Amino acid sequence: MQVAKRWTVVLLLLVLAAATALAGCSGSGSNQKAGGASEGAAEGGSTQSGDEGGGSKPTLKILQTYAKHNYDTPVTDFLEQATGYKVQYDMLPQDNAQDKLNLIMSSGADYDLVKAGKQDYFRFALNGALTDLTPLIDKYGPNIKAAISQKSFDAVKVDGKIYAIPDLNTSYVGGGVMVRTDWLDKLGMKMPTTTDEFTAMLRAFKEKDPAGNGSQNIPFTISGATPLVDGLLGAFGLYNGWNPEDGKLVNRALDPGLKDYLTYMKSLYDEGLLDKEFATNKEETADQKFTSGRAGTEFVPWYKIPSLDEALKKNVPDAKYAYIPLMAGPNGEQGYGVGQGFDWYMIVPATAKHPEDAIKYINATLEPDTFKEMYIGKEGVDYKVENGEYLPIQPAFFDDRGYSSDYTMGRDEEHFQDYWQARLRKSDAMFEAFKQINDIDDNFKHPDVLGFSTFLPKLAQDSQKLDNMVIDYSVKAIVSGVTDSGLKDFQNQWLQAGGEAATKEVNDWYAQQQ
Amino acid sequence: MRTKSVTDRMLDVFVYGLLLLLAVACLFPFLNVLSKSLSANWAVLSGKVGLWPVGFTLENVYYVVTDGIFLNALKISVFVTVVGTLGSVLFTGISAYPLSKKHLPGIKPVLVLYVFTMLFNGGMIPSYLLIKQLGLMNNLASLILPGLINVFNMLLIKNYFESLPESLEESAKLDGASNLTIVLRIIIPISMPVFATVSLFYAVAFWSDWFHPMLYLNDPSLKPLQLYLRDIVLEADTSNQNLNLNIDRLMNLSPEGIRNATVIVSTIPILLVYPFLQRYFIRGILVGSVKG
Repeated sequence: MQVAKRWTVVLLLLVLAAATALAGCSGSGSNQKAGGASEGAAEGGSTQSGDEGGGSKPTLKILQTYAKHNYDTPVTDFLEQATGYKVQYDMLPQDNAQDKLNLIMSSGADYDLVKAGKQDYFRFALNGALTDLTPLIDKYGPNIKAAISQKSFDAVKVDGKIYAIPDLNTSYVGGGVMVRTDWLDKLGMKMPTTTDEFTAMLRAFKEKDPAGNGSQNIPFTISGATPLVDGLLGAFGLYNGWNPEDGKLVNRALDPGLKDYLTYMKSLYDEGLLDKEFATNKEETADQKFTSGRAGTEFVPWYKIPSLDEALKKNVPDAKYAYIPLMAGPNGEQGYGVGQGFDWYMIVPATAKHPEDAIKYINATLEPDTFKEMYIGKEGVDYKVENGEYLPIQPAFFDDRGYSSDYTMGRDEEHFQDYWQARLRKSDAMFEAFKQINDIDDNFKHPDVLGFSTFLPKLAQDSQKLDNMVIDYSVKAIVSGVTDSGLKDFQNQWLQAGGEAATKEVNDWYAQQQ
Repeated sequence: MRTKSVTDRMLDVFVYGLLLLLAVACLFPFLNVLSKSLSANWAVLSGKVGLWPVGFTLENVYYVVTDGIFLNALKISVFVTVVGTLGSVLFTGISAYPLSKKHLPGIKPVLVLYVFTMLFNGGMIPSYLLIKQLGLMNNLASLILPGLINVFNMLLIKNYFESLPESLEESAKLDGASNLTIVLRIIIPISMPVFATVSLFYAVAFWSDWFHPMLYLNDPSLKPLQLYLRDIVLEADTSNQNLNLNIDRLMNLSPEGIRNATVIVSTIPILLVYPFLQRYFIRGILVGSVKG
C-alpha cells in the first residue's frame, strides 16, 4: 500500500513535469509577449511577411547585447512591418558578454547580424571571421551610404574594406559639478566661474552652513571611484583621458596638469571642504549625502537627475540646484571632454546564412522616414515638433519608443542627435541640467580624439588597468599629498604597466592624422 | 543529576548571546533589502531606508511579480529543477546500485573512471563545443543532461546501499523475488533518506545554476530565474565598465526599488521550501559517515 502511494506521487510529479515541458519547452520562436510594453498591436497587424521557404524574405537571426526587455517591445513589431523582415533576437548575457561572443564567433556562428564592441570588431575582422560588406553596401545599401558619413566608414575600414556598419554615439558633456543654488542665494553669492571662486564658495558653505546641517554639513562630496571630476579637470587641461599637447597625445597620468589638479583637490580636502570620507564613498553614498540635503555640491552625471531630483525634493522641498557651467583654472583653461565615436559595430559573420538580406534589412531601417519613425515614433502620437525641437508626448513616447536605441544598426547621422533630444526630455529637470552644461561655447567642448581611432590593440588591452591606476593614485594623492618623487614613481609604474607601449601606439596613429 | 555551576551558566549566557548576535547580524542585510523593496524610490536613493520601509509601497513588488519576463524565468527554473532532479535521481540511483554489488566483475575499473571525471574537467570551451555539436544549443536539455549524474552523489548512494544488510536481499531471494522486485519493493523504500538527501542536493544545484544557462542559452525566452536575477542586479553596475552601458541605457535603468524587489521575489521560492527540507540536509550529510 505504502509503495503504491509513493509511486502515485512520483507518477503525478512526472506528469506535472511533462505538462510543464509541453507548455514551455525549448527553442526558438515560442516566445510569449512579455507584460508591459507590448501594445504595438496596432502596428503589428501584419506580422506574417513570408519567412517560410517561399524565397521572399527569410527570418533573420540577430545576436544582440543584453537588454532587460528581451527585444519584445513595439519597436520590434514596427521594424518587422516596415522592413518586411521577421527577426529572431538572441541576446548576449549581461556579464561575460565578451567571452560568450568569442565562443559564439569562433565556433561558426549562424547569425546574420551580430552587435559587437570596438575591440571585438577589429579582432574578428583581422582574423577573417567577417563578411566583407563593401560590395554588399554598394549593391544593396543606398540608404546606408546616405545615412552614414564617409568619416564613419573610414574609421571602421580594415585593409581598405568595410566589415561593419558603425552605430554612431550621441556626443555630449556627460556631467559636472552640481551645486545647491538655494544655498548660494541664502549667502548672496553668485555661481563661481573660476577655481578660486569655487574654493571661496565652499569655504562659505562650510563656515556659514546655510542649511543648518551642523556637524553633518558637507560642502563638496564625490565618490571614491571618481576623484577625477569633470568640470574641475577642465580647469587644468585634463579634459579627456588623452589630451593633445604640442602635437602629441598625452595621457592624464603623464600630463603636467595632473599635479596641479591633485594639489588643488588636496587643498580642498585639507581645509575640510571636500568630504573627508570621499575615499570610502560609493556612488550611492555620495548621492545619499546630496539628496538628504547634507552636501552642497556633488559631481553628478545628468542621466541620474530624474531620480536624484525626486529624492532631493522629498527631503528638502525648497531645494534648488544647477550645474556650475564652467570653471577656469589658474592658467585660464576651462571646459569638458566630450566623447565621440561608435557605440557598436554591426557585423555579419563569415558563416552567416543570409548576408545579403542582412544588408538589405539594415538598408531598409536606414530609410530616413523609417529610421525616424523607429527612433521617435509617429508625429502627433509619440512626439511633436515645436520651434524645430522634438518633444516627447508622454507616456506614449516612452511606452512605444523608450528602447529604440537598443535596436539601432547605424544611424541617420545628420539628424539623429536632434531626434534624440526628445529622449532627453523624459524629465524636465534632466533636460534643463543637460542644457546647462551642453549649451556652453563650442570652444570649451573638447572632443575625444581617440573616439574615431582605428584599432589600437595595446591600448585596448591595457586601458582599463591603466585608468584604474590613475584613479587609485589620485585618491591616495588627494588624501595624503602629491610629492614630485611620489608622482614620478607612479608615472614609472604606469609606464611599465603598459603605458609606454600604449602611448607609442596612440601617437603613431595620431601622427598619421596630422 | 549534574547541576550547572555559576561559571557554566555564565558561559552559556555568553555563548548564546554571541550566537544570537551573529544570527541577527546575518538577518540585517536581508531585512534591509526587504525594506528597500517595499520603500519608495526616493527614500532608497537618499539612504533613508534601514530595517524598516520608508514610504511603504507595494508597487515595486507588484511590477516584478506581474512582469511576464520574470514569470517566464520562474517557470523555466521550476521546470529545469523538477525534471532535472527527477532524472538525476533516477539515473544516479541506477548507476549506484550495481556498483554496490561487490560480487560483480569489473566494478573497480568503472569506479576509477567515474572518479577520474571528478578530478579532471575539459573546461568551458570544450564543453561549449561539445554541446554545440550535439545540437543542444538553445535547448533546456543542455542544462539537464551534462550534469545528470554527479559522481559525488552517486558515491553517496552507493555507500548507503552497501551499508544495507545482505540478509534483507537474501531472504527476499529465498522467498522467490526477482532482482527487479528486490530493487523496487525493498531497496528503494528503505533508501528514502539517501534519496531525499541526494534529491535535495540536485534540486539546489539545478535551481541555483546560472553559469550553464548563460553559456548555452541565447534565446531570451529560455532564461532561468537565477540568470534573470543576476542580469537585473548587475544592470547598474557601472564600476566594471560594463560595455553595455551607453547613455540611453543609463537613462532607462530600473529604479533601485525594483531591483531590490526582484531579489526578494526570486528568493521567496527557496525560502518557502527550505525550512521543510532542512532536517534532510543535516541528516543527509551524516548519512554516508556513520556506519551503524
